[in-house]
Amino acid sequence: MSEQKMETEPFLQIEDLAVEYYSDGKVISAVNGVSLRLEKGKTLGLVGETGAGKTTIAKSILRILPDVGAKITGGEVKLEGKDLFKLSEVEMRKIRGNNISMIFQDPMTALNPVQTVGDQIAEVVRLHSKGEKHDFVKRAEEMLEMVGIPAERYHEYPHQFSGGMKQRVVIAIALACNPDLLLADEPTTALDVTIQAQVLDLIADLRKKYNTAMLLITHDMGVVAQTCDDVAVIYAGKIIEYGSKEQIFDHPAHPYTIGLFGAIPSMSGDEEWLHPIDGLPPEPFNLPKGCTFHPRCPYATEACRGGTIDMRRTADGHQCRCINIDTVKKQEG
Amino acid sequence: MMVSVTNAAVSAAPRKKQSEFMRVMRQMRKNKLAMLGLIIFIAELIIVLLAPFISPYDYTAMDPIAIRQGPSLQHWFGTDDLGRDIFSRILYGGRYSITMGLFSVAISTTVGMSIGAVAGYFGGQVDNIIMRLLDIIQSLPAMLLTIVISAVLGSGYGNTILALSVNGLPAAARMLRAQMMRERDNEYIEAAQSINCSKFRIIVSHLIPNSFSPNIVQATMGVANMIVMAASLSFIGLGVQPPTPEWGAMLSGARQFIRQSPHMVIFPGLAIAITILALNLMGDGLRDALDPKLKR
Amino acid sequence: MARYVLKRLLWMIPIALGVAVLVFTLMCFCPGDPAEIILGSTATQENLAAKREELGLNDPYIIRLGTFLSDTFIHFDLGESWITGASVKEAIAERLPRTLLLSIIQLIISFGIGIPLGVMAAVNQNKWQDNLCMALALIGISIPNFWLALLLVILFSVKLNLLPAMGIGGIEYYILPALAGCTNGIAAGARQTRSSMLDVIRSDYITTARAKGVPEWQVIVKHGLKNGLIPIITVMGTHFGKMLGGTMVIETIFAIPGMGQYIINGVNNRDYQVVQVGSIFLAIAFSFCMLAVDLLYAAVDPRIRARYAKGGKRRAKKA
Repeated sequence: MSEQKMETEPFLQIEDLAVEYYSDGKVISAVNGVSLRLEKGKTLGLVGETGAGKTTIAKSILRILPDVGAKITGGEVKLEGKDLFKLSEVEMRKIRGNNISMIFQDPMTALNPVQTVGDQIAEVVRLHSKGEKHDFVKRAEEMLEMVGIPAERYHEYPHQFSGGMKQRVVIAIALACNPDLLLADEPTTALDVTIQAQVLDLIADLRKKYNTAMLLITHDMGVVAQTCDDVAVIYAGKIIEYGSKEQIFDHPAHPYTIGLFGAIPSMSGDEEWLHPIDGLPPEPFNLPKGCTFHPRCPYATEACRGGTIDMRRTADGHQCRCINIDTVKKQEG
Repeated sequence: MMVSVTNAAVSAAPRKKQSEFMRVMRQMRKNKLAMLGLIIFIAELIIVLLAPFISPYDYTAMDPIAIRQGPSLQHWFGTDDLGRDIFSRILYGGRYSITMGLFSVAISTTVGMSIGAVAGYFGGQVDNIIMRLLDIIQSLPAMLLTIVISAVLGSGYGNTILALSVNGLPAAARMLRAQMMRERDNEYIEAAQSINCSKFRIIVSHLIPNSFSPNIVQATMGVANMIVMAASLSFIGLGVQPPTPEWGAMLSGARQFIRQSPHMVIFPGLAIAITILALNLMGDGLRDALDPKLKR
Repeated sequence: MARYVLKRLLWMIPIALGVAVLVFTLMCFCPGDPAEIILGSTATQENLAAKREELGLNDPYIIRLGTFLSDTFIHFDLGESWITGASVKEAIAERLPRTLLLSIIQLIISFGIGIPLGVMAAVNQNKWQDNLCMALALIGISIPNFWLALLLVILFSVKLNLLPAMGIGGIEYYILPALAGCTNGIAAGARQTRSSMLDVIRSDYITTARAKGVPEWQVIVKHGLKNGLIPIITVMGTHFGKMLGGTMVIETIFAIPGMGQYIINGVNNRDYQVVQVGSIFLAIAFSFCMLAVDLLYAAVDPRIRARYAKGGKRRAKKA
């Protein structure tokens, strides 16, 4: 792929994605006009609190939101120029697990408890490649070895594995067909801290091998620092800050992002207290008008409480959805 | 650097224990089908209680001229082989059928839960022996056990209730015990132990109140089951005997006229079916209300 | 696994003994003098006394119990009917298969129809298919099957004259009894399948399967239904007990000479031997079916298989 073509047509492009959930007669806007882009082989970190809509975005890309109670209400997702939302279900099935695959948050529940782990890996291979049963089995065994599980354990069931091992199996399933894009939904959150690093390294190694792009969903700034090229910060279903890792980490512009960093203990500083963000995330069926963050924002002005707040470029070129950038910058220094 | 963003779940604030009952009632009231079931059942209870005022005829009055007549304006549900008004008999019969269901479930639930609580409280050998006895009782199909017991006790209203209650015991006992075992592993029990709560107190004020809601659902569903069992028992000649207008007994008497007078078979059975339907609607609603996990 | 099955088979011995003691004891409290019932009310005092002596009714309870147990379990002598004098063994050999056959047919129909209905309802949750299925299921569990049997007789035998109303013979004699006995089962199967499928469909591993590109029907059947089967099998097991009981009543309606008719007549005639031995056999048959259910659990769920292999007997999952 030429440099020029990548300019015009990014590998993955999400435009104005909007998703709604319906529950008890209430409409919940989980994702409100999210736009992202990701180049081949790169990693984009999607950072935000629980309930901000991160997982919904990933599931929308694969079109695996629950049939009942969830609906993609707008936008498009383009993979190498192809609009995934316009594909038929059959075409989409060929993409799932093959071109795009997903690692789920909780390895404890992500595996089918009544199927051997080997078969669960072989199944995805069978669905997306031609061959005989023994080819699939061989590939599954290879994948097991690749994620550090002896191939002899092919015939064991998920309940015979520990959490970290299960996540390795989930990774093996996700990578068995050499996908171009990996959606990793908090792949390490449910794991012990000691296992987390191992799993991240494993994902990094395998991705390097196949030049796989990754959308990494996390609420862990440490993981972002370790893995990502670009970062998008999401709050209440909207991207509020978007830029390269360096831009976001060195010059966070949105008060929310600044707040996130304030909630992390500094190793060098001698501050006694962390600075958590006051208040709670807004209820998704009752979002505040204007900037959704204004009720919790220390810099909120009257202008924040109404109208639409657009993304704007900051001085160093990354994007931020805040009308008081300059004030914030001045005060935070 | 491994610090998470405030993990404030969107979940509602934890509710107090007292409001649990109110919550269940609220849920029930929202469930239209459950309310329909409740209304039908209550209406039936009222009609059956007021049978002497509502029924157009004396349920024992025979009319030798109007024998096995089909439904008409005089006799809504027709008459039986002795010329008795079937509608009136069904009204009075409901007193037997419905109360047999209610009482036998009340007995089997209370006694069964006590047995379950004893097993759960003492544990060890006592638990073991009780459970093995229940195993034996349950290894007989319920209908068979009821048939044998009602043969022993003899027929009649009270005896049939007793016979029916016995077969509901094991399920009620097991349900409470299993639920107690499950609750026992919860952390709040450990918390109670850690503040030196006595075992008896833990069971009475923590375990049982938190364990019996499945029993309530079971009991509601059980009433329906018991009414059918009672009717089947009377139908095969045990249980309540004719001329008592119990629904099953009425069907039993109607059987021989099935060729000539099907209406004698249809109406008493319809009465049973509607009652069971109402109870099942209530039971479903109650189950959904008590177990929000199952709700859509 | 073999050890588990062996253990369960051995456990049936005390169960059968327990049932024998239970039923024997219950029958002892039965009102009415069997001798008088057998000989009729015209029998003389001497004849009655002789009959009582012959049946061993004059011995103390414990001796009679001992004799009964040793005859049944040690000598495998099932004795004769007190009324007809016919061999109980032969009668059971002839009747038990009929009752089991009828119950098993009902069970197969119930779940053969109930499970697909439940799956369809769950997959189309809250749509018309779901509402229709659940409405039918609600009606299905609300109709007492002995009444349905009568209605079927009215419709198919009396009005349409299509099917025989009673007796045994070819397959046509089993259609109405089987139909009457299976509606409760279909309904219960559909309801349980729906609720366990609704639980399962929300599981993460179902999302995993979808994310793998598994076709939807395979997601539902291979990943969903297989996981949802455990509670369905449980319902199936408890329902089999109900069907055996229901079959007893249905047999009397259709005049099918099965165990139900045998035992109910035995009860009415105070034919103790028939009731006792019949009950033991029904209990054993029932225990075998329960064992089959537990083995089905193991076949479906590797976790349960592992627990059985370890020799654990408990079915309940420990938190």
